[in-house]
Amino acid sequence: MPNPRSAIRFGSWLRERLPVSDDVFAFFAKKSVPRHRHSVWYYFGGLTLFFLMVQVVTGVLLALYYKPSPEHAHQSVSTIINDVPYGWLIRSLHSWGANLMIATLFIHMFSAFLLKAYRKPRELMWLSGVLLLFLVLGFGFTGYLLPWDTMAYFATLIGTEVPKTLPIIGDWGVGLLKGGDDIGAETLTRMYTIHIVILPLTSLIIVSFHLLTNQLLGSSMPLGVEEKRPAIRFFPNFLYRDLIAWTMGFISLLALATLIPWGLGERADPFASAPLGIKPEWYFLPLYQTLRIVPSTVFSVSGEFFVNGIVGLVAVLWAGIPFLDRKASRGEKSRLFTVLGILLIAYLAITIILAYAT
Amino acid sequence: MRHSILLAVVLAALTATLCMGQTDFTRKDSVHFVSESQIQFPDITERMFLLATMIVCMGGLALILNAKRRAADMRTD
Repeated sequence: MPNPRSAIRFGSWLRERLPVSDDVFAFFAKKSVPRHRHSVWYYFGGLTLFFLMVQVVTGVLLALYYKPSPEHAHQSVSTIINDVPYGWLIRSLHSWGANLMIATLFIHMFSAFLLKAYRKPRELMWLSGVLLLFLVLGFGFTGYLLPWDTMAYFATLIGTEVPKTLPIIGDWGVGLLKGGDDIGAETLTRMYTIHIVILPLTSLIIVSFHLLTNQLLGSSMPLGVEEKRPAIRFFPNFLYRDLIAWTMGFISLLALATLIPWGLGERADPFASAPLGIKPEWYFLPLYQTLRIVPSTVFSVSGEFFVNGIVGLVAVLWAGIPFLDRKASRGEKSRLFTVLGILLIAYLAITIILAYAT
Repeated sequence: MRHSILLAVVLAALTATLCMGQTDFTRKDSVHFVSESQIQFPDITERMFLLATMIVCMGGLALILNAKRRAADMRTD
């Protein structure tokens, strides 16, 4: 254990070389977290951040061995799993971590929605959170192709067809993403660049902003809920609680990664026909299932165009919730938005179940 | 004192895991699961042992953090 006197001496040495104002420490120390019957939901934001950090660490380790070209990508992932010490575990942690990160992000977002945490003055916090949702889904989409196995190849082939129907930007956007008409070397390089450079850098900025707004405004107190006990200080009291939740999250991740290690299919063959029953990852299943149930033509426009329009509209409305829910901004209960949120959760759950079942 | 013992347990478990990593977990002849693309994972016993060791590590860490949390809460209250 470190000697307290040595720790104090080291502290003085450091402060001499990094003369940070006491105001900065006071700024971080002032944050507190309310205590009430819904406090458990406060942990999911931190858990999402934790899984994001796991993704960064495991992603860097994978990048040491991964080769982003159609000739070598599959072989390099196979080498990571078979030959690199603990490679199979790192790769499993990365793949399962992505799923857990998206799951905790969804829980965090819907709990924030149902507790009306988006209301004034936290509109920008909500907007940055919605942006992070899209970035995380982007991580999932771009990362899926990287192993270059059959499922990844054909799922990406189908997935990139969907946005094509978007007016003006559809063809251009897909062309930019694919780097040509087919899924090939250019697509893989672009997906890899987006996955390891563009999305991480953008996420770093948005996450920093999201955390800054949280530090400045503190955690939201739900409407109509009484705070029976005084709020607890974030540093160090809530941080310890957060860290305990992170260890539990890590144990869950380890259990998944070791008991159900992430596999790798056959190397993709662009000339082969798409395998039957091909489905995207669970977080894209609501879109997939909606496309399946919507007829090929709706109101004289193509089904894909119609679904893209609806999804785009829902996304815009979702981002604009803090500005639409005026009652919550005034501190009044807004049952309509609660019901809409519950309906959306039910729709997502039902479409995911239907997509798996059929 | 209690923290030191827990820390020792955590470190011992971590060391054991790393030692195993240099032996069993990279051994090719202990592999039993082969998928369609010829990827190989260590067999379930080894993976279970790894998981158990990591649970001990993380559990120990969680206990230390919980003790720290209680101490911090007592100071605040």
